[in-house]
Amino acid sequence: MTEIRIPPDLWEDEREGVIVSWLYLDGAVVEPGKVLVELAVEKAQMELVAPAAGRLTILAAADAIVTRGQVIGRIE
Amino acid sequence: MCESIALAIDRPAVPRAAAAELAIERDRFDALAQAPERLRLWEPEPALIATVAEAGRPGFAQAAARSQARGVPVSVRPSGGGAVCLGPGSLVVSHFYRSPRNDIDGSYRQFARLLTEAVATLDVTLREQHVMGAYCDGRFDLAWQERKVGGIAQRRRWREGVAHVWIHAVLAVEAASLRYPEAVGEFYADLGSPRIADPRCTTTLSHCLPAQSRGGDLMSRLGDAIVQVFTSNRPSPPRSAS
Repeated sequence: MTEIRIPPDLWEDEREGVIVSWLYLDGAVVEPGKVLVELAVEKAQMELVAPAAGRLTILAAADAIVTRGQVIGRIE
Repeated sequence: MCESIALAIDRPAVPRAAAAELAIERDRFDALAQAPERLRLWEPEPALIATVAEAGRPGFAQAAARSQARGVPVSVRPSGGGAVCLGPGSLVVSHFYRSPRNDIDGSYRQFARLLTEAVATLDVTLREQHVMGAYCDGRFDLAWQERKVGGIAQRRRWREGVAHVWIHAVLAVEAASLRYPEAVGEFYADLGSPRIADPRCTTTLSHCLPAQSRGGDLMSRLGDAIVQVFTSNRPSPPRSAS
């Protein structure tokens, strides 16, 4: 099982971000390196790519408020 | 600053359609894995650039059509924040690079510092400041006497331990750009958005210039200064083993 985690050093303080959209549905099979999710904080929009191959479980849906270091999904 | 040594510079001589330029810039961003660091400066034709989040709101198509009918076509950009309106008299500055650090705030500070240095050569001192109430306001607004002259946003991709960064700014240079925040306000009203874009919170670089710095083509002088500052802030090339 591989966690999809917002990098803990992506921003510097306790600001909150938001999940803009997932590019795959919950339960989809994903490939490593594919863009999985977009999130936004402080006028920056970021893509996170799949760290591994497998079936995606979404733990923080679109529009969810998130913090740095938070696990937002997993791949099994 | 960045891992690459070469700096490619794109600087079209005539105003460009924002939608076409944004398409080019998306391609530049997608090609960053194999491409050199790049700086782009362009003066846009009139356009309102909304965010992906705004484009997903109900009523976006109708609000965009109304803006188009007012002579301001709407495009969508993949960075964060809120809508901006631009056109002749404003300058878009985009910087594309790879970095081993995935640090949003560091990228903002570096970009803001370089732009501030460039503007300082025109005898205008800008500071990073959140200008509440201005269009697309944020912590890294570039302000003169509490009023916004420019704003910065970015798009990032983290891939295999390398951050791909597309960071861009819109600078209000000539007086013509003073009227653009009103177009953002009209767009938000049509969209039913609670966001505001108070024109009183903005100014232009031409307004900030001291008397001794006026004259000449301000847009060209600013562009030259930005290229000079970004070019001179290059990382040192690696020393060869001998």
